[in-house]
Amino acid sequence: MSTVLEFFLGGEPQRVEGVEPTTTLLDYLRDDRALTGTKEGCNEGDCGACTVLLGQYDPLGEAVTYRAVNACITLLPAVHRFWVVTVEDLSNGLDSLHPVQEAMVRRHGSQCGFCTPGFVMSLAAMHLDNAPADQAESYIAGNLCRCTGYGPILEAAKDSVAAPKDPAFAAKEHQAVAWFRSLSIDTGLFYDVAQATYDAPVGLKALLQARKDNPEAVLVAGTTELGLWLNKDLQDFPKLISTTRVPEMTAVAFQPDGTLVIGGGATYEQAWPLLRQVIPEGQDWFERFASKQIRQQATIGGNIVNASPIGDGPPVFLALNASVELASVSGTRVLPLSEFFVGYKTTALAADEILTAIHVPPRENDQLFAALKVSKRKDQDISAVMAVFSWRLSEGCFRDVRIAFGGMSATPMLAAFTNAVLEGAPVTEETAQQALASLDDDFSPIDDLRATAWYRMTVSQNLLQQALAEAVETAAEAAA
Amino acid sequence: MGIVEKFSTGASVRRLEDERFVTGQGQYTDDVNIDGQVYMVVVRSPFAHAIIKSINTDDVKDADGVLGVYTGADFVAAGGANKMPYAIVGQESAKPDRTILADGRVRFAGEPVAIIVAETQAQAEEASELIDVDYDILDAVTDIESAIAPDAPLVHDDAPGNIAFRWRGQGDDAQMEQILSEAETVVEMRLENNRVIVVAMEPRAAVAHMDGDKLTVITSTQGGWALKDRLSACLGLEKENVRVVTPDVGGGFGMKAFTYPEQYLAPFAAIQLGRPVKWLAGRGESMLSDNMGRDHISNAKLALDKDHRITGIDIHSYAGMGAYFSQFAQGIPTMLQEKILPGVYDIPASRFRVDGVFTNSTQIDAYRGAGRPEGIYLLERLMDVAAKHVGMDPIEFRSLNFIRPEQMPYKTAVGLTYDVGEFEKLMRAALVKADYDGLAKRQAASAAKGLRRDMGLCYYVECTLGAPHEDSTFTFNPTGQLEVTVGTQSNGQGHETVYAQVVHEQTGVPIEDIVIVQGDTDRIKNGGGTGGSRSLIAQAIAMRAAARALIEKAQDHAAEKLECAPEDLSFDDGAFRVSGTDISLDLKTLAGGLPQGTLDVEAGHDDYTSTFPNGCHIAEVEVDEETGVVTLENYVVVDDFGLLYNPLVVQGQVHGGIVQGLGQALMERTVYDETGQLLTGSFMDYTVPRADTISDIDFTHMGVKSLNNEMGIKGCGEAGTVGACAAVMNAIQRALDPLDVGFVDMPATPDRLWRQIRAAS
Ligand SMILES: Cc1cc2nc3c(=O)[nH]c(=O)nc-3n(C[C@@H](O)[C@@H](O)[C@H](O)COP(=O)(O)OP(=O)(O)OC[C@H]3O[C@@H](n4cnc5c(N)ncnc54)[C@H](O)[C@@H]3O)c2cc1C
Ligand code: FES
Ligand code: FES
Repeated sequence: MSTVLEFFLGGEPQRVEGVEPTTTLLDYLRDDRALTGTKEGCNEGDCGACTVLLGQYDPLGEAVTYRAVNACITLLPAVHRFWVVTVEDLSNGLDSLHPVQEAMVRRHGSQCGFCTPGFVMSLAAMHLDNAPADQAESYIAGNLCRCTGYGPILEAAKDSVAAPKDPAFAAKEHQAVAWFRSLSIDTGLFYDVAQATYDAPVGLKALLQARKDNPEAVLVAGTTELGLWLNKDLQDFPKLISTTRVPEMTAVAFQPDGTLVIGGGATYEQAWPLLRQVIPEGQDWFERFASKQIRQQATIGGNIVNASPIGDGPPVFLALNASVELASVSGTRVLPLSEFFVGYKTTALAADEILTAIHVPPRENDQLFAALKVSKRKDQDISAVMAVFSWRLSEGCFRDVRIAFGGMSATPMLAAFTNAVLEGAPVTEETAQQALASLDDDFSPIDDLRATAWYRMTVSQNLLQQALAEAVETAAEAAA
Repeated sequence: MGIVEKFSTGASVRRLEDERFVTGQGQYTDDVNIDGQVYMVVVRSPFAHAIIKSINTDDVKDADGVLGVYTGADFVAAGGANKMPYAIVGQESAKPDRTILADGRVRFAGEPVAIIVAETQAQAEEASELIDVDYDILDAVTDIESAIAPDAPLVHDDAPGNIAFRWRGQGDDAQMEQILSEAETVVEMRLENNRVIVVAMEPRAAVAHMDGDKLTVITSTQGGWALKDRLSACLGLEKENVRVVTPDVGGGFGMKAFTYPEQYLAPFAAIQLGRPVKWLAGRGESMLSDNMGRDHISNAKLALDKDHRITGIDIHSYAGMGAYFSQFAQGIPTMLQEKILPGVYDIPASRFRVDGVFTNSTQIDAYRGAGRPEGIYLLERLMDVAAKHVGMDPIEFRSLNFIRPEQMPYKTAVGLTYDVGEFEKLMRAALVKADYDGLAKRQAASAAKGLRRDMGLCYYVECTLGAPHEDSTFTFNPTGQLEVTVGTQSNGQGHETVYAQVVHEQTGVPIEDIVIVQGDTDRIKNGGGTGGSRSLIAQAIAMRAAARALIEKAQDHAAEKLECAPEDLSFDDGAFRVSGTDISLDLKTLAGGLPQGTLDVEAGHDDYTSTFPNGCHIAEVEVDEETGVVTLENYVVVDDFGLLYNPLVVQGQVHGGIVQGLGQALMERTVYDETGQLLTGSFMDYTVPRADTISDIDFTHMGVKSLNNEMGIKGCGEAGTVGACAAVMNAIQRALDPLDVGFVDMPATPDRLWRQIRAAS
């Protein structure tokens, strides 16, 4: 077990002791290392000015993979055994620009320049991923710019995907690979500074034990929630236990019976390639979940445990009839997700338990699925309403109806009355009308600045009405 | 005069500043660190309106790392003048003090109450939770309509009815009443201009330190000279002992044009403690305390004769001020807005009256365009309302009322003289670009998907503003580079590049050997800063004068070097040339052979006058009736900025300005709750445009050279914002008109639009 943070930065291996574990990567770079190219625009994960890349070595593929993250909500201990790539690493001084930097200059993608390093890093991630040009918007959805209006940056993104790999950067990568190879096997991290600890055990058993032994400790995964509690609410976290070094928890795989098991520590980006096979209709839902930077950090487990009424994940998993696997040293239980949410931001998770996996049952061939998010802006915005519909049409009747909503009550919730009205009922206009009326029994949404209760209810009814109308039409066509 | 050929002069030179920016080498205020620096945190009022009964700082003083804590009383006791400046424009005006730190009463949530300085940022933040302020909470009022209602709580005791000031512009009551009574038609409209949070990506910041008697303040501004003067007055320092340095600025948009309490407080603390003091606003703090923009409610009348020609325009506006007068808050909704009120139309008479209104909310001041976007938004919405009212196509209605090229120079009803402008021509060009003829087809296709589609148009005119004076000095430095000082201040508009182009064109010194020096009040005596789209015009005149002075001064030296008579020399194509020979000598080489300083020159002028950039914006939208969601399908703009120096930079200004305007129109909504708490205090709650809002803006330039300056240029920094709001809102209005939804105000968020659609059906 390491008690020292080890990472690679600025072409050099780093060994860090004595920096408090709740120090963010951004503060460390700017204040401790005077690497001021990485900017602070919000300190809340919203603006992307602090975007850096975390490089990780895959010994099997013998390649480094990168993900763009927001340094402002990444804790320094989370970069243990990573290569931290900042804007300073992309070029060799002013004269030899990386292709993405060159493209930004050529396209006039920078005006005041403050957001620019963050955009450059997002574009670098895109370049390194060899992503197709049409994904440019997705790569920069997490970066804000108030000057350019984005058009020139999107152009720069398109130019830079076509550009060849940068030899100067490849040389740096080569150095990093040598460092990765020199690392001994990961036995976990126990980082302890001035009575604050960050414990990142390797292996589920050790994690569960740590959870049991330290009931006062706070569990962290992607820290996309915790980072805000730290930066915005100025909360103290003297004891943290991290799930990120537990391979069992990041695994995402289909079981032989077709159930998709998503590790409780898997991020949205990690889970999506397989989850997409279950719900290809969810592409839009996925892309509108926060930003690429956040999706590469945020775990689905964290999103569910957080139990926010406006979370985008829970309604989807409710409609998919998912269960959660909750483990402690004394054993494991599996609970239907609908029983997991017990009240406003409270769940059935016991003090010594960890959410270790989400089980998504196999989907029936004829199961309809739709996830619809309504918000003010398309990218990275909080939902006013998140509506998810799932049902089958069988012999003219609705079956296995699971309609779930976010933004409509204190917890993400199945629309129990409406589901009951529809279940087994004939697919007719009349049924549809009854179902719509029953939404009122299921929910009494609130007014807030994102939307009024009236808007929430009526938009939900509209969305449901559309979906039901299509169902009625489909049934009529099938009958004809 | 004819239309200047598209992009004829001016090359899209790569921006010199970009290499610094893309590599992370830009130096913004928070990137500056000074040995021994300590950190300042501002304690702000959590309440929108309260009496401060007492402040106890004992626990703060005892906290770890704390070096100092100061309230308003401490600031005054130490000799600080606890007062922020503001200009009075209204004929009647309340005159409440705006203090730097609160003096007994707070009037908006976020008002500075005390400062704490500690060894680290974290210590200062932690200590700020220990301050004990005893507040007596008063009723608050945060929106204009509630503030002017009878019995509303008073923000200032000497502003009855919360009326902050009353202003009336040009135009005569009797004449206007007559026009209205004689008009064939009078069209009326009530319109809101929503309050916006400016959101520069770089939060406000300052680093202050004393070196002997000399105070240096490094801070993000739009020009540091006013701050220098005020700091000297406020803190009792000799002017020459105050230096304000503005490093790279991460966006200003008018919001950084004026001084802020923290820019006095960090220097004050640095003097008190003898240590360098750094302050950086958090994002939430910025949103709460940066000057906000807009916030108007207007009632407008347009008088038409029987041929639908406009005979007069009559406007009364309420303009929100927030809780205090910010420095130029009174001027924006009044004088500045009035300038472009008749727009590009032949309107013989106008009347414009404004009542300023106090609310318990953050102060309002300039935001990109300052007054002119508000005026054009109002006028261009009114044009559509009027066209609809009389059953005319809005395009033909505009066409009928345009000022025609042969009427130029044209004196408007508010007394400005437009020099040039070819409005009809630009509008027609924009309509072709926007494929107006194909609209019906596209509407049918959208209707088949259950969506409403329409197009909206805005013809804007801008009036560039700002101080008439500007200077420039030219110095060849020991490495042979030409250092050019300027009194403007880039906030990201690419001045370094464009100015270097101007100087290169005049002197032949290679672009890479020109160093633009800005933002240091020790090196530059005076400056007008950036604002009002003035920079290039005002600065270029000064630089061209300095270039002429340089060439004149150099001529004798060149003659000596070339062993000829000065009269045998001509300066062209970047070098002195001996007539009748191919012998030449460029300035850089000449300067290299002369003692340092020989060719130093300085020039200034007072000649900057307003120009009138104008153009046509066309937006095409799809609206989903079921959800209220608007999608922008197409955006076309045809602009006339006179002559362009750097088309790439200009296009960037237009593009960015339009997206800012679209943000205000479609999503940006500042919300206070009834107790006066700002609910939209983070990027999660205050939605600014992201990459998906719009990416393709079809920009065309059809310049008509300005006659108001020797270069023929017009300003372009604010134009995008001026035109965008009305174009997109007119499009949405037209898309929804068949549903009889009434007038649609900004921001057209799905929730608001949809409610309006529902209320109609
Ligand atoms: C800028 C931004 C945009 C966002 N946009 C969206 C959005 O569009 N939609 C949306 O739904 N959410 C959004 N979020 C929130 C979303 O990122 C989080 O809810 C995220 O999924 C939480 O995961 P995490 O791994 O980061 O959790 P952390 O912050 O690490 O932890 C959050 C909480 O979950 C607990 N926890 C984490 N993992 C486990 C586990 N395995 N077992 C038990 N407890 C656990 C932790 O103890 C902690 O209390 C956004 C956040 C940010 C910062
Ligand atoms: S600083 Fe804005 S996302 Fe990190
Ligand atoms: S260039 Fe100024 S914020 Fe992007």
